[in-house]
Amino acid sequence: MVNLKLFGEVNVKVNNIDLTTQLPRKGFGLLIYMATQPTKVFYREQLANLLRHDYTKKSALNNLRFNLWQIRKIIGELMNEELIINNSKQAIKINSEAITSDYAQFYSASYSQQYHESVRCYSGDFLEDFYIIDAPDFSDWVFRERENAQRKYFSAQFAYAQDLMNSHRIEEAFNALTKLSDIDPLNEMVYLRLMQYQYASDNKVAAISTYRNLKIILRNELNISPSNEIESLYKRIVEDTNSKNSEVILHKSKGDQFFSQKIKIYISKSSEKLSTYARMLASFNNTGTQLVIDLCDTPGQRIPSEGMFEILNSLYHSGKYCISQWKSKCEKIDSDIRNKIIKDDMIFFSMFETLIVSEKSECLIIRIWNFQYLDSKTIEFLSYLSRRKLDKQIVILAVYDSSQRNLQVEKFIEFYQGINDVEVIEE
Amino acid sequence: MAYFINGTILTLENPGECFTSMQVSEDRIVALGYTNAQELKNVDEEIIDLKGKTILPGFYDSHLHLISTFLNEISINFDHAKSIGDVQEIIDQWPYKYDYPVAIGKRLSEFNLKERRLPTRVELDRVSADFPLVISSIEFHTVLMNSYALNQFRIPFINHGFEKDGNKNFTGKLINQAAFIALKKVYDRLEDKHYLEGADKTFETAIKNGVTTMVAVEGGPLFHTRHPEIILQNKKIFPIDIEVFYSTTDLKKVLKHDLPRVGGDLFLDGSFRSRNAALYEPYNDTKDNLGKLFYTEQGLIEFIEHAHDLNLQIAIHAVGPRAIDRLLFAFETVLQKKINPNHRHRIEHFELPLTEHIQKAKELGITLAMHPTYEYFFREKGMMYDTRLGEERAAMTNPFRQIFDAGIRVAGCSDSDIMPINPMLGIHSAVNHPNPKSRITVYEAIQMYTLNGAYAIFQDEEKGSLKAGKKADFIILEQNPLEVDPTTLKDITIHSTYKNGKCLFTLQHNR
Repeated sequence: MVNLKLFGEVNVKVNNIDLTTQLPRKGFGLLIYMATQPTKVFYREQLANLLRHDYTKKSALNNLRFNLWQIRKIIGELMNEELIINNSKQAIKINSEAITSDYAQFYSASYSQQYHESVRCYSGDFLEDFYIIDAPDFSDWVFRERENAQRKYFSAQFAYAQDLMNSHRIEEAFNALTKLSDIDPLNEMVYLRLMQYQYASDNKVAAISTYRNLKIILRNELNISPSNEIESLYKRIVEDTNSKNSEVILHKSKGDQFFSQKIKIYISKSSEKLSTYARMLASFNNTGTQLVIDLCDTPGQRIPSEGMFEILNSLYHSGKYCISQWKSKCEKIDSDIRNKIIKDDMIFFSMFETLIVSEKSECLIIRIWNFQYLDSKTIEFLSYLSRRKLDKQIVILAVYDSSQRNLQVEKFIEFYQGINDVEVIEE
Repeated sequence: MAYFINGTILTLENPGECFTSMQVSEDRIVALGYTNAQELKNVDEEIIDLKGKTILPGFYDSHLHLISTFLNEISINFDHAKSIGDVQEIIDQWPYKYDYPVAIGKRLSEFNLKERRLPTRVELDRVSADFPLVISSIEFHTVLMNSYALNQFRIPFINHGFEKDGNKNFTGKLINQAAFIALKKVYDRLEDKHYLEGADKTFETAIKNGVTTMVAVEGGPLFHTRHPEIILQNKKIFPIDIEVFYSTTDLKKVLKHDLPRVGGDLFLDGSFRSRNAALYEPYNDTKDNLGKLFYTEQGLIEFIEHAHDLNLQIAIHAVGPRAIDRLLFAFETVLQKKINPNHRHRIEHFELPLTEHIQKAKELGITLAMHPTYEYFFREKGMMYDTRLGEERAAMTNPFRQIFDAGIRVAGCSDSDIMPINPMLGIHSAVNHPNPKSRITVYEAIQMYTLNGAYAIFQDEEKGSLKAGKKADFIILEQNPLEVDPTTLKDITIHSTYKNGKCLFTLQHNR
């Protein structure tokens, strides 16, 4: 039995013996072309033209004969049955009983709506690294097939993700969608579904975080805004959220100091001053010894706990975090936030653990660009951090536009002002 | 110290102001006057006898894509292609096919080809079977790829923008999202050394054309986020002043570099050539197409407000009237809330404004960055403006006269590498505008490339005109542009270019 793998890295095996490197490229291409249409009868002349566009008819047919001989010799020797059957003097066909492929399984599963099976078969683009120079007809065919398969895969993966959601297998649904964004990071439908699933599983903060990330990506890469559908969903989520931030609960550590934290808060109503302060924040960068996390870098009030997601996003995009570690931490925090029974201290502890584990750097800098927009839950988390002893220093730099009063922020400032290592500069 | 005497020194400080001598010390102008050789008999300093030549302030090119211009030097240039056959021959003859990670083709226009269409993938494959080839159209919104590149680059098919023929095969032409992604993949493959390979040649050309300050518009979706970083990292070693507009909505990047400005080619709409500049009436050659707006009204206002609050000068691309309208409204909304009388926010291109747009721009104190050379290259019958807009609308493009009459400051730009870096050609194009009602005077056109250029980036106290205390950036022309036949302005020879008082170029010998 010949086993063809046509998605992702291409190979051909006969009885588990890998013959990929033994087949010449054009011969392999010929085999693939025929194997993907196992019931079709091919005229020799058509096959000859497929791979040798500019050859004379005689020369192309001679070369075809040679390719067929190679296939029969290299593969046929390992088989008990004929792989390529002469249908007539002018036509041949492949022995469909003697060949299997992920391609066939993929399409069979797609047509019968076995989405799980279908996505399992798709391990990469059709003939991902396989290319034949000087065979434009073959290339045309490959590109058409590649597109068709990719579109089918996307449909199947969306359908599979929906099935998973319907079965409350939420994390798996997210994973399924993430696979699509790996192929097409600018596909809005993927983000729309992610937001819908996050919202449906009561994780409004994650949905809003997804929206914000998408907005940045689309503007930077494609110069467009999110679609009307995504904008409407975002607005619905924000309206649906109890966006009134709660009263902050602040605690001081024992003694009149922070263990490992310095706080500097710049306050002004003047655009010029605020701009100067923003430039000061901008001068801090990620280095080997310091990691920078950004909160509220764009205007707009944050919903409860949104700042926590911004911290997690910053850690992820710093690139210093092992992805699997980050993912599992993030999922835990995500789920804790949604689970309203979990106490804040436990969530804060998870966040705190994430910060410690994430980084070997000596210093963590948290830049709060628009302090007036920070949500109260994250303000409480910053207060929580101040009571923890860490093996690294945390510096919080915040710019507060006092023309847009935030009472929770002012409570924070008033509470900590006067403590060592807290500096409030107001101009 | 050096004295320049016996010349015509047009200061651009005031209309008609003219001296015959100028004194320069180190990087500054010390004095302007009417000193003659006799008076300098006992002076032990360098004396340059201009012999009647004319001095102007060094030129500003107020909007160009510098990295893209550098890349021209390592790209296949299709400027002279008149047919598909020519395109193939140029590719075939290009000696550097395998020297770079991808062969880049530029400046291909279907308007210049007798077939009036772009080559197909199959036609490209005939001369580029075994290396990746990517060709961008003149204004980057359309990309052509050969099969080798299409196979290697793996642009997701789910995206919009793969053109197909009648047999549903890919023609190799990518537009919209697909084009953006393709260009990104090209840029990803290039290393910094590839980008900078063309720098010397580019600056040589610019200096020979009298440019002493460039405003490089870098980054954005048609380019790459590395481009502004490369310029900023290297600007100190470049021979002339390079100011950067970082085309990003992530203001942290701008603040990180302590830049005073943002934008440049933040596209509110597209271009006429690609039929995505935003119009009120459909394109002449595609009946239902009004172009596109890439920002919602609210999104645009939010961005402008955020940048304005951070005291950044903002520049946004708006070509068609619908885009200009939206942009002016956004500026007005923000400026009404947060007044800043000296904001100097800019609109780039402003190519087809209505009269009310001109009035509003004046009212809001907007500065314009415009590209007169488009009128020189795109205006002939059957060419781009005519084909896309129709004769009547095409006559209304770039109305410099009305804009100057309204008292708006206009900075002159090349938009290289779409157009050549050649301010004299820009001056020529503005003065000889095909629509006589849109023509401006030679003096006004020179202002575009000197004092207005400086004003447009808050440098008018330092440069842009000739005055004691200002930087000694100036050029020497063989002929006086105020005296020659205006139709010969583009033929004026630049004799020398001085930057910070040092001669970078002179016709007798290059320094």
